[in-house]
Amino acid sequence: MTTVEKASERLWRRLNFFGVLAGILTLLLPFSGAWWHLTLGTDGGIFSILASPFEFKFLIFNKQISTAEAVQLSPLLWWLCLAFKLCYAYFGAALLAGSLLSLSEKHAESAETLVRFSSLKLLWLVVAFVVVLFIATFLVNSATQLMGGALIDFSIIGTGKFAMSSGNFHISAPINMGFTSTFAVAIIASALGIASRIYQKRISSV
Amino acid sequence: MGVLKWVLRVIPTLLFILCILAAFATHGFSLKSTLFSASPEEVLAEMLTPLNATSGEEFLKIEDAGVEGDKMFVTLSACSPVPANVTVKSASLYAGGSEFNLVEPAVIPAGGSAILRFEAPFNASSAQQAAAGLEVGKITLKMEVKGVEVEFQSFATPPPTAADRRSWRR
Repeated sequence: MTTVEKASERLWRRLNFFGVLAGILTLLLPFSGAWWHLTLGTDGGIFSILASPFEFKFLIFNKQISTAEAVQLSPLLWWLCLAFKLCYAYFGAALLAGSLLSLSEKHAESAETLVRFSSLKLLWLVVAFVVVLFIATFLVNSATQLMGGALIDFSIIGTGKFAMSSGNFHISAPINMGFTSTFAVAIIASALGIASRIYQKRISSV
Repeated sequence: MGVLKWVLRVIPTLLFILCILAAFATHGFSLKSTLFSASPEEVLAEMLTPLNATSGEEFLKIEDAGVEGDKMFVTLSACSPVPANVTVKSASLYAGGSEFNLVEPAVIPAGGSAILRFEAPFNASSAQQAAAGLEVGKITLKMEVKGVEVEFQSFATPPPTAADRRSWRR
């Protein structure tokens, strides 16, 4: 192996591939749609909720609530979702920059700082999202048990049921819940984030 | 490096503060309107406007009534109130002291209408009442829309028009 080839190999080893992939995925995730869905009914259902830390969408007969309507519903929630979007796009960009910057020995320290800062951010978000979903489903189930006339029995994955009676009116429907493929991408990106942190330590110690 | 770490941490905090400030600034710094600009009912009504537009007609309307052989019948015209097929699985109504049952399940197409035919065994007094002007009492409907089962009883039905009554006396 020539000196140039050795130098090239050493250079490639300094590139944090895990970080590059995790950075790109983290950068794209805020704009990739919902992580979790809930559908009331079958065949598309009559009512659906699509949720992620970056957006909440409500669909009635597959008609999506418009941005203007979402802002009207809760302006603060809409702006907070926008803040999450911007922050995670920023974390993704920082991870990508750190992973690429590790190629340069001159900027190795900055690269490590960037990777250490941004690599686990998505993991915490994924964990927090699942915890919030568990708490929300527990609260909704408990609240409906306390109130008479309605029954909502569901978890974060699988099927559940909804029933409500009021006077001469009775409604019952199956509920379907589940994580979307975007959530799987978020988990993969989180795992890559952990790997990038470990790999960055190895690069720095060499 | 200390500066880089500081800058990295400050930017997300600034983004959150700016977004929260923007939310308040666009709603006159009012906590109530920033949390909920419109009530959920208002937003829901706005969302459902296009759906309601398809259902300008009454959901149920009496079309015809009479006697055929040893059976009395009532036909109702049903308009779909939602942009999805509605399956009327079972239904019954009381008219002229008799209970009429839906002959067979019917599908009301999305945005369209269907005829629901109800039949009851012949009863002389009911037939006389029908001739004098049938008044439908309680209607019980069991419907299914996209897997959602809805069952309701209605006591208020659209009163028959003079034209309806004339047609029943034939």
